Amino acid sequence: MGLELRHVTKKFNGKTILNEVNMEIKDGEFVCIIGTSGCGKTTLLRLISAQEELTGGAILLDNRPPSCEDGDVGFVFQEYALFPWRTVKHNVEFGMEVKGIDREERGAIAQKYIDLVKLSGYEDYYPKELSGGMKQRVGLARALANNPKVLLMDEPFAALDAITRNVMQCELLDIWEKENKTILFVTHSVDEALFLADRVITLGSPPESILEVTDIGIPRHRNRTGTEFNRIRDHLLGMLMSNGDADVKQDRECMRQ
Amino acid sequence: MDVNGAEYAAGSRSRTLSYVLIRILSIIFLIIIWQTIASLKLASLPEPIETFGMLITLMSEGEPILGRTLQEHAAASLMRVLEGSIAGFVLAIPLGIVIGWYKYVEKFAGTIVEVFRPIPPLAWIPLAFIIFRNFGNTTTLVQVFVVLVGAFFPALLATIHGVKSIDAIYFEAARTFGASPSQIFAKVIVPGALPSIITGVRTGLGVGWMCVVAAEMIGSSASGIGFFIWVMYEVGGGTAEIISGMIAIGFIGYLMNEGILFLSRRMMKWDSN
Amino acid sequence: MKNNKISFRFFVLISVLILVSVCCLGCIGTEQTGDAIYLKKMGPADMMSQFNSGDIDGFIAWEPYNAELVVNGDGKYLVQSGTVWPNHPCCVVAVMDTFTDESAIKAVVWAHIKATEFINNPANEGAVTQYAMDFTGKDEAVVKEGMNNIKFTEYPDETEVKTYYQKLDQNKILKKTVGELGYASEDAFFGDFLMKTYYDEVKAELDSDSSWMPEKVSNTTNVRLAYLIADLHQLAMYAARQEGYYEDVGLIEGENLVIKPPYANGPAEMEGFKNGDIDVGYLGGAPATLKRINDDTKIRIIAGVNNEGSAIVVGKDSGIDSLSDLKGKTIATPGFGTVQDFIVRMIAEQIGTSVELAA
Ligand SMILES: Nc1ncnc2c1ncn2[C@@H]1O[C@H](COP(=O)(O)OP(=O)(O)O)[C@@H](O)[C@H]1O
Ligand SMILES: [Mg+2]
Repeated sequence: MGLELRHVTKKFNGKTILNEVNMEIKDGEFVCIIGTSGCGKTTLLRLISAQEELTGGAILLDNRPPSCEDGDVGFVFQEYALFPWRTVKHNVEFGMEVKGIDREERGAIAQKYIDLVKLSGYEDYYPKELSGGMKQRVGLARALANNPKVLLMDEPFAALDAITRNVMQCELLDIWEKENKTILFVTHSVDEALFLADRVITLGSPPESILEVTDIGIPRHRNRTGTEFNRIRDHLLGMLMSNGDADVKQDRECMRQ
Repeated sequence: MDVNGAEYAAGSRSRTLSYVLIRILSIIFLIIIWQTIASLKLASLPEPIETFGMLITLMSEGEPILGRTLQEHAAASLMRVLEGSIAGFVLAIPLGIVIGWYKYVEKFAGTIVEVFRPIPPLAWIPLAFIIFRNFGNTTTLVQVFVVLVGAFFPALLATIHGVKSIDAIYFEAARTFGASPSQIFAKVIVPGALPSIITGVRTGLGVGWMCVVAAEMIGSSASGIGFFIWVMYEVGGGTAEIISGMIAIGFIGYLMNEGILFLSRRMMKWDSN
Repeated sequence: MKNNKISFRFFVLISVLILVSVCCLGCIGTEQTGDAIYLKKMGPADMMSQFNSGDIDGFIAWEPYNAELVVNGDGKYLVQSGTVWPNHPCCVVAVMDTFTDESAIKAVVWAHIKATEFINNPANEGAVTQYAMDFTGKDEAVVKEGMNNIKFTEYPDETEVKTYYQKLDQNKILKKTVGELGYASEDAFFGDFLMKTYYDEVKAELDSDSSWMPEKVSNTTNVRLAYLIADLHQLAMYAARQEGYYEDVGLIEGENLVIKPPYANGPAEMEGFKNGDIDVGYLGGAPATLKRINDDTKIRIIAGVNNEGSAIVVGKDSGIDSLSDLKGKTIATPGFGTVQDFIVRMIAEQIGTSVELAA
């Protein structure tokens, strides 16, 4: 059971982006994928959510290919992708509306998730009336309300300011513990991955495959400046630097100073 | 958000007030220029006061030659505009969605649209008379048709633009929830393109309104503001009546525009700024 | 934020209200079930096509349009305008008050009289028919039929012009009084407007000597002459050109005689007078009088062209056989305040009904 990727390969116009990627994610596990930009993180999530066709290999969710029609996966976008013409409540109801769940039931479920992401009172607001953090809470509630088996999150907090981002990370962990969801979380921030994940999977630049799968044994709630935390961070950054492009190397220099 | 709501509202209230004042000033300014031109006899215009008197007479007592009030003429024109532009929108909006959505249809229809679009609606009048010759009630049909042509293209172009400018991310989001094509149509394309469609409807109605007034002047008719103005011109000596008719045209056009703006703001709170 | 539903209801309410009110108002103009005569205003070309499409039951126009429908189409004459209003004025020759060259005015009047005599002389029937065909572009049967219904004259009947004026006044079509135009009385106005002196003088000379000619117009005097397109009433102008009457009095086309491109209708030609584009023009007496007063376009009538010559034509098999059959029918007229308009109103009065605008 769980999510399984076997020899997943993806080429765009003959150019290999993902090469023989294998991974196994257990039910209820929180896995972060890190990698430099352009290494194929988004592509990987799009493959899992069947937005993109596989060039080779197989993806199995509970032993069969995942499908959006069945609401197997929930997607949280970096750009929020909230429907601007829908209120918070109606955004959260979207997936259930598509499934044809009747109005009363979906209202109740939507309310539960709105409460879960702490947006009670904002039900009738439109996205343009919300801050970035609030928007992403809606995005999260919208994905959760559809009761997916696995939650795919593509750099969901990348556009938020540092403080909001930290708050959102803590709340995401709370929700994960309450809801017991399998989460596949993409980020380019090593710190974020370290703070959140049970395991961190480091993707190499194309056409390299997975560089390393790292178990993070630090008990939660994690101290972002703890010694073990720092050690793993240095290790991961070093790996990314030796593999990554100039951007990351520069970033690394800055961080050292 | 809404932190300084009250303060902001107070500020905007005084601003609104000064905007209203500016609006009133602009009208007064216009009337002064008009009065000057009339007094100095720079052009043979009736004085504003005489014209407004005429406007009131035309609305209360009507005009003796045609025996109708200005509102009755306006209603006749308005009927034609509504018929013509609603027909135009019924054709343009679905067509615009299809063109905006399917690349091949866009390539196919694009040239046709671009060739027909520059033809002024009024240039259709003679052909329309020939086409509708055997349909009965030709005059009205032709006028409605001209409005249809006028209203059609703004609505079509705005709809195409509206559909094409929907961010791809919304389609993606809808698909991750397993939305079927028909659900994507109803839940993404239509609401996503709606602001642009409404703008198209607004422009289309404005163009239709201009067209109907002109069509009533050119084609033979028996009612409508354009007809009224034209008869006043033919009979002669009716400059105040002509200007009154023009004021009515402008005012109704303004009201239609404001009306749709008002409704669209109410309907689409999510889009207004 | 919570009044979403309310605002939607509000929107529906408003739009329903607007639609309903517009429909109600629109209906006011669309009832046409009474036994009035319903009028529709249009140019003669539109009359033809709308008659054929069945939008109108008949029309009242001038020749050769009536004859064309009767000869080539499925129309019949219901009544000639002269039957309803004997000797009613029709086309006239007018001169702008700023044009004061007496010899040129006399020359035009002379050419007009000569041409009218030419047309009215039965010996010239062949040539006249040919001119009529060339001038109007219609075929022989049509122009012959049309010519039968026109009385070519040299000066309008003054009492009928005054009758016309009275009708304009009664129907509130006049926007100004003669007083506002600077005349002490109606008689003073007509004394100026109907400038018969030139006609009388030329006519007297011609009566004593039919070969009399006025002195030639100086080649430095330009005359800009206007007429209406394909109006059989104005055949005299065409005949005068063809018979060389203008040349006889020193008006050479392309030199000191400029023939303006034909005007589509009387109001347009009056606009030409007003703008100073025309010195002398053939046009309907109705727009001439109406715009002389309403627009204060200072023209004077120096000659008449024809009396009568309009008619109501209806479908051959329409079942409209008498004037009272016009009740409830839609008839096209060339405009409000025209002679044709008044003829329909006179008929309505005669058959005891009213005139209303068509829907
Ligand atoms: N639809 C596509 N067509 C062609 N190339 C694509 C497409 N989608 C992504 N790519 C390419 O694949 C690579 C990986 O993209 P992406 O998965 O978005 O990277 P990441 O999310 O890790 O930053 C990039 O080089 C990008 O240009
Ligand atoms: Mg990405």
